Amino acid sequence: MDYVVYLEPSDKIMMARVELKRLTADVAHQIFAEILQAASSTQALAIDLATVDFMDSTAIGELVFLGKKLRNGGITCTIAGLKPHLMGLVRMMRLETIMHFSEDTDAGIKGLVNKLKIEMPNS
Amino acid sequence: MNSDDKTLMLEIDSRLDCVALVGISIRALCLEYGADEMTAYQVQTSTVEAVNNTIIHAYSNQSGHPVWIRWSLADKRLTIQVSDEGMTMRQLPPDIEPEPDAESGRGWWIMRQWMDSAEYMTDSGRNTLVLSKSISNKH
Repeated sequence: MDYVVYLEPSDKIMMARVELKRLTADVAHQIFAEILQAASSTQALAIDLATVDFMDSTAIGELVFLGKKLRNGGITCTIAGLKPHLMGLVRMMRLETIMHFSEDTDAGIKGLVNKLKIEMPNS
Repeated sequence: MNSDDKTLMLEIDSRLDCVALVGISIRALCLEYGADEMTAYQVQTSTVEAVNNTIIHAYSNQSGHPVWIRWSLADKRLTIQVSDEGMTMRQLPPDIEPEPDAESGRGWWIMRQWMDSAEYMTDSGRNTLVLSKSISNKH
């Protein structure tokens, strides 16, 4: 499994940057479980998936599961940096109706700051 | 078979970490033989969904079983056959759009949306899903 998850824990907005090309059935559960565990004490979470070129439906299901867990835990989340063809898949699945997606991490964090009315990280 | 027709057979073990190899190969073949980027992506995704289903459902996610993938191109029509000798599907999933908050059940819907046809058949203990798409189609 060739992936790296970089976590920047924070009690306000936690960053999770996932580095891999293909987010698929063999790795998706493990990656999102790592992120979920690390996010337990944050208010908000930005997940950067900018390096991902390919996602299958199992990974999408795992993303939906993660979103539900975060929502139930009162954690606001944004998925940042998905490539245009993957955003097409997201729209086809109507995931935008249940999850927040942002163009990149900066836009995602700004959106979270505005929504939660908290200070920008590192400001 | 016309001399311009092309066929490639692949075989992998029933392990999810092998599926990416299939997807990469199928995408490259599609691009090489005239499909545009979006068509190649759609065929790659549909093939990965078919192979995932075989491993997860037909073989209950157990390794050590063969999955065969046959890619062919004839008259600008791509056909991908995914075959196994595992459990046979008794009933195909309904052709309805999954709810946005569904945690599973999207694979067949993607295949039906992005391929011209997706047909499942079984013969003498071998199950085969046949995916077909014209590469002259634009999305």
